[in-house]
Amino acid sequence: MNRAIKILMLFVFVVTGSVFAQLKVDYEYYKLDNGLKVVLSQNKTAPVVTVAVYYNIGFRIEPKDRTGFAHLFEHMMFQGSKNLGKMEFIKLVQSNGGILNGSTRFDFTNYFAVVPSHKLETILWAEADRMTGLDITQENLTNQQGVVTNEVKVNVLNQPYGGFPWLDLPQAANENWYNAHNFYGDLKDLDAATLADVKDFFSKYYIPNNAALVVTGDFEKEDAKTFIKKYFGKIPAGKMQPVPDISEPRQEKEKITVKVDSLANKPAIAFGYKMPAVGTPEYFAMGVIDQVALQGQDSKLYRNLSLKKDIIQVFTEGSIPDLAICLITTDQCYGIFIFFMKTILPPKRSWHRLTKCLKDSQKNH
Amino acid sequence: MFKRILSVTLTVFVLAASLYAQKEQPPVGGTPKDFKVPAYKTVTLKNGMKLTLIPYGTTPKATIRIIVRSGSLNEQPDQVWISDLAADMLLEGTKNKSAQEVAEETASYGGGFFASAATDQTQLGADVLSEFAPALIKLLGEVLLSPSFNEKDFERIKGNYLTNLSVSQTSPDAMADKELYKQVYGNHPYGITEPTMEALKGYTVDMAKKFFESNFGAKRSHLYVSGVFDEKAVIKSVEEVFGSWKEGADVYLNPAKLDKSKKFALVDRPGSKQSKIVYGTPVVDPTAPDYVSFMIMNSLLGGSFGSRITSNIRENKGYTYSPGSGVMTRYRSGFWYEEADVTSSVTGAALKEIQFEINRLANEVPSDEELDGIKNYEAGIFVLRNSSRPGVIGQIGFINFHGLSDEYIKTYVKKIYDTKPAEVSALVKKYLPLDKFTLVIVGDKKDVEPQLEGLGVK
Repeated sequence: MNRAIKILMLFVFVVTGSVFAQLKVDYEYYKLDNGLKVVLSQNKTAPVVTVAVYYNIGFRIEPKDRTGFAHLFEHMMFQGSKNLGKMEFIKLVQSNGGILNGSTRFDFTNYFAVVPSHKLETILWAEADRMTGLDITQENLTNQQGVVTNEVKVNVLNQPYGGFPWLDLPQAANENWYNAHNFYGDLKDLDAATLADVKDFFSKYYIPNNAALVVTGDFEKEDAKTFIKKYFGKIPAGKMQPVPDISEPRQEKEKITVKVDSLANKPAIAFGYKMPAVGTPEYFAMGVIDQVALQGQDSKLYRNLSLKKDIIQVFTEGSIPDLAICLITTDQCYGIFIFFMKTILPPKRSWHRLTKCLKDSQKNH
Repeated sequence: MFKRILSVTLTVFVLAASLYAQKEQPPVGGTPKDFKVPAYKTVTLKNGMKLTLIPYGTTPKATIRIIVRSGSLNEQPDQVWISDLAADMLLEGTKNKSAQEVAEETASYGGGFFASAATDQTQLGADVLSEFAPALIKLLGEVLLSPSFNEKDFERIKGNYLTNLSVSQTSPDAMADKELYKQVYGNHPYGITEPTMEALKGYTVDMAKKFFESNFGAKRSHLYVSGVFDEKAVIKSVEEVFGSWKEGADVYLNPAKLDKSKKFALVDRPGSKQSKIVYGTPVVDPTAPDYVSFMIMNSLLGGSFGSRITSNIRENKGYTYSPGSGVMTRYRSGFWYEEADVTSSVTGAALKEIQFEINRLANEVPSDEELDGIKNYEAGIFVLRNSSRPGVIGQIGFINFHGLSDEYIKTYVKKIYDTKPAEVSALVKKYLPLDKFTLVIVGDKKDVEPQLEGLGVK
């Protein structure tokens, strides 16, 4: 690392007065009267805009008898709203030349569409429509229970190393149910979900005061503000839910868990470390440690494990999640993240050799 | 929704009007902005190497990629994967710099090197801060002109590949690819996706080095730089570094000839919770005059989230999570396929629905409204595809690989909008005859086999 810093400083010196413009990220933050947080960021490089809505609810605090529900609910957001029936939201985005998707994370769920810039108003209208209310039938719920069950199969149950370690590691490392349950969901819990659950979850968490709207790309700010006020401004605020206790007892000792994966024919190992709370200086320091220790072929770990000791196949997946979203919703960001790497061991390399090497890496730096 | 109902019958229209009257219609938005693929220029060095410069965007970064026409196409049958091993060896240092030094130097420019080989091309490159583009090119030159190829590094990388090969025996995706490529490409080099464990164990660093020396050189290489960079400095750096590179061999062409006939393979994976289905047939390649229309048809049939097959087997039936169709394009060949991982018990039912949707599109001309939606989608995707530094390189690399001219890019959107509904159905009839389909399934044989009776797939 030392050497890299020296090289970097040398070049920084050389390029002082560089002809290239400094990177400037334009942004503006504000809040509507109903509590919806808005972020606008203009960039006119290409004639496209991205509209994204982040709801401050993830799989961590989903109902205890409904594992996987936060993610199943994400699918519900594409199943019909007040003015758009099933498939119509998807077709609206596609037939206007755009793409869309959603994802469920620890502490938030996001939905986004990227469309040609002149369709900004259309997409803001559609996002506001589904924030106003859903119109889900039992048939649509049953259908998506089938889709999600297949998603769990294709990504976890039918794959060697499925869900390893992103599903397994939190379950092994944490004590508090909120941090340690199966986030994708047990199939029986997914099957048990009802329309009443969907309604209840929506009214608790899918309210404007629990959401952030982000518009980036090629648009005029005054236009965007007018559309946002027109379509999102009239959605009533809801009652914010109390945050359950998600604290995790301090871990004092190393924990080792062994999972048998009958589909895998080589052992795989993942290591995790508890992360400092989000937004603290230590949290950002972990971002730097991640770069120095794990990421890329210039990292300590790669050098020590792969090049020097001839232990191979290291996949690093430092988990510094959701940095941007935490910056705009700091009042509700929860700590306890896990930082991990995984490796698929080659034949004849022992666990002991790997762990010894990891410990040596820590000692040396 | 409105328009389509209107075109059916008046009775339906009246009913629909009362049903939909309370629904608010989406605002249509403003007027489209002009989109042009960024202007670029290509220069050829004396030794035959090409350089394409694409000024793009305002972020002070440059994406640098060298694409070399070397891949599994160039492998001997007893040296499958040697192109991948050779590519990986390029990241293991040069005659003067260790792998660690190369990695640290690249990191100091704000990026990280990657190298990867595919069927026809090997790519190397990095994303760096703008001011370091010439320096990165210099390092890239060192990597390509004087790679170290040490035996110790080779043995370590070979160990990785032995692990990968072993793991791939258990993955439904790799199992399906292996069988599909064998069925589609036969004895052509594309037809073999994996070496045997025994063969791989016997590979030596000299094989990789020899492969590299026979297949890498100026005449097979094209360097692309996109983003914000100093054009003169980049050209100067390329000439200084690559001007002395040997010409090397000409581009090797060996187009695969695909046999359009019914084929079937069921790969047994006892206890499998899902069946992986790949179902398709040889079609047009990107140089065909109706290729763009074909892609529009594909998007409507199975290639987009709102497509017919996805709406049917995912959003209606719930059989699968991520179905999709596409065209596997190689030089002068194309293979259309629908792919889906479905719950084992509905393998036959899912296939039946896929066949139903193919037949329906062949026999009933789609409405203007449905097709217009797809055209807008594909035109929008074209803009997105060309709206990033790597994206524009990918697009220009695509036309260069297939030997297409700029006209392909310039007329792409026009060709999308020129496609007529009747043409879409005619393309299905012409290119997707179900009695000449190849079907590959990876699943539990005893569960799946009885479900295939009467589908005409065997």
